[in-house]
Parts: sequence; C-alpha cells; structure tokens
Amino acid sequence: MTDTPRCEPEAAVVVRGLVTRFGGRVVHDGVDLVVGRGDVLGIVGASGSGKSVLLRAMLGLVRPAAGRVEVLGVDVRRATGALRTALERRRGVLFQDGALFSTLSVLENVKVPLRRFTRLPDRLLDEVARLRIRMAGLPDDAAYRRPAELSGGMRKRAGLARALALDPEILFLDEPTAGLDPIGAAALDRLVADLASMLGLTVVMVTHDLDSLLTVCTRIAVLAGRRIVICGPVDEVIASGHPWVKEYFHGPRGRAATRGRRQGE
Amino acid sequence: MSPSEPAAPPRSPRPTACDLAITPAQHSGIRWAPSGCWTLETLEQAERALAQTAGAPPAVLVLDLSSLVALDTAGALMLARAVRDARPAEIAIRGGTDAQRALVEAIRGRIEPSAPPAAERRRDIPGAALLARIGAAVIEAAAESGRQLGFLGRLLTTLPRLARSPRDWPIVPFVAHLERAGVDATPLVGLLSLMIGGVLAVLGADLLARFGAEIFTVNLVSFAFLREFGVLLAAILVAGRSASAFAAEIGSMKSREEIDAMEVLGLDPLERLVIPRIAALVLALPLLTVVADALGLLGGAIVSALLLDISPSLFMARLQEATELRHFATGLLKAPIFAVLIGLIGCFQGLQVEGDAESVGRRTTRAVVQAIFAVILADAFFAVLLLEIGL
Repeated sequence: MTDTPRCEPEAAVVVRGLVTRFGGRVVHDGVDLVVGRGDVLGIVGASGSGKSVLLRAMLGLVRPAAGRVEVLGVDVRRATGALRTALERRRGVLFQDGALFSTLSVLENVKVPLRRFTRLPDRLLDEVARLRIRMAGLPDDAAYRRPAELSGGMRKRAGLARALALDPEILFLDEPTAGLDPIGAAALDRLVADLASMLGLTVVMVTHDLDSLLTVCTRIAVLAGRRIVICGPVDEVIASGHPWVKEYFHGPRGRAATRGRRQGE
Repeated sequence: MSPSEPAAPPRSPRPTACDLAITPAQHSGIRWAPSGCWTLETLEQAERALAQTAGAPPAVLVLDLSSLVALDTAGALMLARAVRDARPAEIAIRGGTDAQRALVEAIRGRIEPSAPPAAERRRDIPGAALLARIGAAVIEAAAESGRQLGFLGRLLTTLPRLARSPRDWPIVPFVAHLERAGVDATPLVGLLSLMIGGVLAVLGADLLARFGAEIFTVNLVSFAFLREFGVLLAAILVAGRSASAFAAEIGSMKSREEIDAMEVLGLDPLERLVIPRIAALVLALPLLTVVADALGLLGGAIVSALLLDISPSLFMARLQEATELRHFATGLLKAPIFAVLIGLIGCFQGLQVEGDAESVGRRTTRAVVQAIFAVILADAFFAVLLLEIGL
C-alpha cells in the first residue's frame, strides 16, 4: 500500500478492518481506508467487487461483521442522539438513481434536509433550494416537477441538489456520472471540483468514469479481492504495477482517457 | 482553481452570529463588510442585516470579506442577492480567502438575474377550483371507461390467436393464480358464508316465528344463498383479495419497465399476464361459489337445529322440497361473469400505473373499489333480468 496512515483527527473517513458478509458471501475482508479532509477520493473496482457496499457501510446502512467506520470522527454504526444528528447534518449523499422521494416535487425534495436541520422561513428555504437546483445544473422549471416526470440524468442532478442542500462537509456519491451525457457528466465533474476547492469539501465517490477519476479525483482507491489493494494520489495509482490497475487504466479506454490527461497538462 | 489548493476556511467553529457593517468608500462608493458566520444557520439574521442596504444604486460597491469567520453557499447566496438588488455600477470583492471570493463570484453567476416572482398563487372565483376538479374527474372517468373498453377489445382479439395455438397457453401461471386466488381464498369464503348463513337463519326465524311459519326459514336461507348471497359473498371477497393483488403485481411490473421488456421481446403482456389471471378467476369463482353455497346452508342448518328445533333431517327434506335446481344454477351462472369483471378491472388498473409508488397504491385502491362496485351493479342487473324472464 502506498498510503501512509495519516494523523487520524485530520481524516474525514477512517475505515479499519471492515468485514462485511451477506449470508455466506464475504464482500469485504479487512478493508482499510483513510480519506483525508479535502480529498476527492474515487473508489474503483470491478462490477460486483463491493464498491457500493463499501459506500453504504460508510453511511452506516450496512452492518459490518467486523471492523469500524468513522466519518468526521463519529462511529457511524454506534453513534446515537446528538452525535448522530450532527453527522447527518454534515454529510450529503447521492444515491445511484437519485433516490428522490417520489411523492414530492424536486423543490420539496431539496427542502426536506433543510427543514430537518434548520428553522428558516419557507421563503428562504425556497430560495436556498432553488440555488441548489441551479447549482446542480437543472433548469428552473424542473423544480416543480415530480421525480417520475424527470429523465434519469435529471433525477441524478436533483439528487445532487438534495445532497448539497445543507452545504455538507463530506459528500458521498454513488456513480454520479453514470447515465449522463458527456457534456452533463463534465459539468457535474466541474461542479464537484469547484465545490471541493471553494468549500473545502471532502468527496468520496464510487465511479467507473475514467474521465471523472482523472479530472476530479485527487486520490484513487482500488477495491479488488475484497480489500483495498492500492490507495494513493492519481498518478501514483496509474503508475503502479498492480495487474488489475494496469488493465483498468492501460486498456483501450483507459489509454484514451489517460492520454487526454497528459495532453491537458 | 485546482482542487489541490489548501482547503477553505475551517468550518468547525459554529457561532451563530453574523453582522454587516456599511461604511462609505472612496469615489462616492459604499463598503459592505460582513462579519461573523454567514452560514445556513444564520441565514435569517443575515437577511435582516442586509435589509439596511436598500437605497440608491451606488457607483462603487466594495464587498470586504476580511472579517468573515465562515461562509457557505447559503451565506454567499444572501450576499450575492443583495449585491444584485443594490444594482451597483461597479463591484469589487476584497479580503477573505481566494476560496471565499470565488464562492461569492460563483454564486453571483448562478442566481436569477432579477428577484424571483412572488410564489404563484392564482386568485380564482370561489368554487371554481371545486368545479374544475369535478369537471376533470368526469372527463377522466369517461376517458378511463373508453380505455377500459379498448382493453377488453384487445383482450378479446388475443383469444382467437391463443385458441389456435394451444402450445402457447400460459398453463403454469394459470395454475399458480388458481391456487392463490382460489384455493387460498377457500377458508375465508367458507367461514364467512357459514356465519352469514347462521345470521340469515336467526333473522328469518325471528320474523317468521311471529306467523308460526318457522319452517320457511329453510326456504329463506336456501333461496337467498343459492341465488344471491353465495356468489355475491365469494365475488366480493375475491374482488378484495385478487383485484388488489392483480393491480399491485402488474402495476409494480409496469413501473419497473418489465411490461416494456416483455413487449420488446415480442411477448404479449395481455397473453402472459392478463389471460392467465382472468382465466384462473373464471374457474375459481364458481368453485368458491359452490363452497359458499354449501357452507351458507350448513350455517343455516346449524342455527335452525339449535334455535328452532328444525332437525337437520327435516332441514334437508324441506330443502329438497322447496328449492329447485334453477336457483342454484342462476347463482352459479353469475360467477364466471363476476370473475371476468374482477379480473378485467384488476389487470386494467395495474396496467394504468405510471412511474411512482404512489401511483401503484392509487391504482390498487381503485381496482378494489371498482371491482366491488361492478360486481354489485351486475348483480342488480341480473336480479331484474332473471325476474323478468321468470327464472
């Protein structure tokens, strides 16, 4: 592992010895991962390697068989009461298909976290929510539509608007650019990078998009064989000799994307 | 800005105060110096502080961020909005970190160019909304009746094709639905019929005893159950159980695009999903009606024996004497027709589902309500018809 353990108080996410199991199937067997504050970490791995499960474990949605997960210094499974509420206030989550509440309009969806954690009057909530919707790249008239009336890409953006509602310190994204057109995906990449630099946001994303990995992420973690096999700065990971990483970044698609990166520099 | 730049201000201190100092600046300008935490928590305070900025457009507006403790996008939104509304000829953003200045600039570029219109609240003539809703409901009801008829038509056109190719008959789903809609409903239908049969006997006995005609209780129970109650009870229970199940099953398949997947593969959803369900009901409901009839009569017999001293053998003798086969037949005749109505409505509502979870719930409810309504309406129609033709 190229990752030198950081001083833990600085870390936004600490995963130690995580083991998850579904029935007899072992998904993770001793995953160790540290995400520093301000990092934009991309988690990659083959389909079915447990990337999404790892993300869900970081959110406290999966009960690990062993190990612990701390986000912003809070143990996500054991925290209760005020500590847990504080964590919920400081994180934002975008699920794979947006996970919008289907009975509410987009605007109402974005207002749900705002209502939960603030006591602002409706007028201000509306204004903040509309800004989020614009920031996520949706047209203004999308605010009053129901999730069922949106396309998949628009649902994803609306989900991002909701994830950003509270100006979180840490953002979890599950395949943020999957299903978006290249222009939309690039805009989303740029938005995440801007937010990360302007607000000091920490971002943890599961992605297959080589372009977002290379343009947005500052670090990459590779999940293979039930563990994190390598985690480090983007260039270091690409240059590493791990066979799976080699195939991933130096296969035909990876070569095209990395070539673009070299030319851009 | 590259993401590797040092992170923006530490956001750990969360004091809940923010303020704005307004001082004149050079060149007939004005200087705004926000201080404290301009974040989501202090948004209301920030808005109040900015209320004092209203006035004539200044020539130069200097936004001095140097005394800010924290700034997030919500706070930046307030500042950007106030800057927009102040309409300065020139704007200069000073102080603060690079990230904070970039944030204010980014939000300025993203807010609406002018104040948003007040929330749309249409002022209507009183009662107009109610009228409009009634009108919309009537139009929708008419359109849905049309679609339902169209559905029946499409279903009928699949039958000849299916009749020609017995290999395509959906036997396995048919049997599965027969079990779920028929066999699994038997205990409930039986128990309820037993109890209603008993209640009918008690009511009849109470009334007929005044005329010394207790023995006609047997006529009442047999006549009512065989002609009406048996089939009606079975149909209403099946409508509650199966119409809802059909609508929910097909509806969630529709919302998960399974129906579309079938059509793309050249599988007719009517043939695969609707026909086996309706066929299962057409076979199950007459059988359930027989069960209901039998247990209704049994309930009547038990109550007669306990309360009226009509022994079971007397009950049987009286039953054979008073009741003709045509009563049983008219009851049974209605069962397949009710079954078609229930299955048709359940499956149709399932296919009307669009998108969200709420739609599945709404369509399921509508399936049950309409199925029960249709059964009772059809029963009333049959009662009059059969009386007129003397059956």
